[in-house]
Amino acid sequence: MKKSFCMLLVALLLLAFAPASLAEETATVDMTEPVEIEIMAYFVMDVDPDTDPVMQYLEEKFNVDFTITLTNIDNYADTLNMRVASGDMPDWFRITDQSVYGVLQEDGLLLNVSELVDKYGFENIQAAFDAPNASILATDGVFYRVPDTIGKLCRCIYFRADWLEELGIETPTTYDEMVDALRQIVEADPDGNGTTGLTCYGLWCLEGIAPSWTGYNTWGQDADGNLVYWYEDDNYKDFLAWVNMLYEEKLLDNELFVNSYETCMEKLNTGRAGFYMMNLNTTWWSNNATMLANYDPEARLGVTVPMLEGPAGAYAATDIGYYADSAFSADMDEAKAARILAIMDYLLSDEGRELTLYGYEEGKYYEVVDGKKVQKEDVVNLEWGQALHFMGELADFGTSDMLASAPEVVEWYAYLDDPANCAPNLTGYFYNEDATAIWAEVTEVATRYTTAFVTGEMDIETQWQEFQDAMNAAGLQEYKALLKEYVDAQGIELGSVLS
Amino acid sequence: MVRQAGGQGKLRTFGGQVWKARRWYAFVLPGIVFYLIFRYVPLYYLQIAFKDFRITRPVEQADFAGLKYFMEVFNSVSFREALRNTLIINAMKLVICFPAPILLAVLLNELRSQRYKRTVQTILYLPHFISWVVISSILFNFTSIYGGLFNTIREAMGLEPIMFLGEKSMFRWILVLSDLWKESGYGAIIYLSALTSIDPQLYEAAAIDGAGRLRQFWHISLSGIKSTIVVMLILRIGSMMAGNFDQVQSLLNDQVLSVGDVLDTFVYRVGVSNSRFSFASAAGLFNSAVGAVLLLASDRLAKRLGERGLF
Repeated sequence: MKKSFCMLLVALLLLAFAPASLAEETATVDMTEPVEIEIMAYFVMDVDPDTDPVMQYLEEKFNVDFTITLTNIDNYADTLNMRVASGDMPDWFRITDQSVYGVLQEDGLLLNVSELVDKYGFENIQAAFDAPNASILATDGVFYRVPDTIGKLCRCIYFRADWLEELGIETPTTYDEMVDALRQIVEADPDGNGTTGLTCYGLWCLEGIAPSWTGYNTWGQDADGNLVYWYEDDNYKDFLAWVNMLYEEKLLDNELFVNSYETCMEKLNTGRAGFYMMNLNTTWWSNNATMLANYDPEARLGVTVPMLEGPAGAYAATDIGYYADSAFSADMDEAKAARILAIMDYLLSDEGRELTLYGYEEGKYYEVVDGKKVQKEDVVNLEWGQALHFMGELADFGTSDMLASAPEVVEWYAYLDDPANCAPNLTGYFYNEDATAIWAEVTEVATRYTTAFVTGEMDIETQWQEFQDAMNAAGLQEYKALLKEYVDAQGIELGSVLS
Repeated sequence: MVRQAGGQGKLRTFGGQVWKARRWYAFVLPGIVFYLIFRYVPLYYLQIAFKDFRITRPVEQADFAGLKYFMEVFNSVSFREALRNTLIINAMKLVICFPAPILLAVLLNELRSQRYKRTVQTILYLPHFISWVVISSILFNFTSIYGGLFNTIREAMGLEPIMFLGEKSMFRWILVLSDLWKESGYGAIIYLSALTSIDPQLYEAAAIDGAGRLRQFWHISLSGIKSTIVVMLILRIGSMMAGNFDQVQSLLNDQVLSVGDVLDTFVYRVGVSNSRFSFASAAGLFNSAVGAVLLLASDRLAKRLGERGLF
């Protein structure tokens, strides 16, 4: 009895001191020696660490000297490939292509981030690892990159609210109602500039509403657990037939395959389109609203929140929620790696996020209104190129969601918070060398057929089977087998295919 | 070593000759170095087409794959289409865009006012310096079915608007005609310089003998620049497999893939964009090999016809 009591006491004592001893086990980042860090990324404008106040603040805080190599997003992957092939990997870089991540990780060229996060106790990075779906970014449970969220960036439908009001049209709640609205708008041409109804840039853009026909995004599972690519699904076929109807009636911009997102924005905001399918977040809302106001101060923009109801329900097509994560070269000593991760950890903290949204000096990038920081948009956009500083985007693009103030954007974010409203595609991080080669061929087939079905060049009813046969000949079933292995290994739950 | 007859009677070694002409060698040295580094050294990496290359390992460590990637290229869904489009579009450009600079040069040569000639020449070759990205932007606006210049004219004439950049029957013509507009002026420079080297007395003598303008053009101008034309034609045929990537990539869209996709855009889209470097290298090597065969064949044909050729 006495012995048992003593054992219990010892156990309790051990438990009491365990957190302290665990805490003592995490190492401390040594910041005494200056370190040079090269960052490679893409961004909207140049960033000079010698003059940028936020960069200088970070340099001083962490005793580092940054060198920044920037490209535009179109050239980034090629430039990174060249650097890797020439053996000149940057210390800290973004990864946008899963095939690049795959080869770098397999050949041991990426820093084992999990190991250092455990060792140094980087809590904010650990929180990023623990975020929803982030485990998909790990390889065998180990993170070789820090997840970079895209926040609530997702396609929504913008529309000219003042036109609907002028024509006495109720804001549509279903796609059928939207079609009626499009007919009336095209007929009336309210601004007299020759409106096109609904504009977008490519079928990909319009596929943001396809889950409202299929009930899932891109990949689904049937009742037997088999993977189904939505181009195989008759429900998607109905969606394509609907798009073809819009195209033939000229309710859909016939230049959709030629448009860029900029030309579409221009069409919407200069009275040449009534509806536009585009990403909605603080930045894009602000850009569109400003453009429209410059064209016509009386004009008003609206967004379809909640998403319109289709045959399978109302869904916003979301992605895995991550893109262009930060990775680090394995070819550096631990002290330097720890310093870099310390900076990353700081940027993911509340203080770090505030720094990348508001700077550190009141009056320069923000002012305090009713006790709350409000960003000086003009100054920020001029100096940073966008609402979020480069280092903020590098750490977590989703930080910019904190700036949401427009009611439409706030409402959209709240809508996306409910998983029932979203149809995510969780296969975006799938990489397999054989699968990549097959997928390139399947995509070639799919692009040709779906484009032809939209424009009416091919008849969707009589040539749908031909499309299926062509995809299978290109290797779709082999691809599905490889993807299934990945889906099962990752424990990914796909949406159900409607019967 | 060559013993020179006469002169100073000194032995003239190769080194001596180089030293004597050192300024000229220094003049071409940067060009030679450029070609060595950017044209000859990269030939070593053609082996990527025969290996399972990964960007993370030196090419020497890559496993040998034989003709695997060539077979992948040839079996690719879009390869045959891209090859066909490349040949058709380049043939169209050969027929339409090749004679244009010659005609332009001859017409410019006829201008008597030097000031006017220089002004027109400058205006004509300025489009060469505009990038295809800018030109594609201009074309999008001009051909737009929503208020574009061309369709506005069509509608004014009572015709239906056409989606030019999405119309399969139009797209190749857009490529050819935009290339004609952009490059004819600049291409005329070579022929103009060849024309200016023709002795003007030949024209005077021909005029005295009663030859009209057309005869002078045919027997003097054209004959005078014939060798230049042949050289340019050989080079043009040698580049029949090249697709002018910048132009096509800027203008291509999903609607016209079947008629506009060329080998360069196919390789970029299916190969490079998917980080399939061995695939892209195999396609590029095939492209270059066929181009080399065409170049040599046209050179031989030119020699058979009595011209000097390139080599």
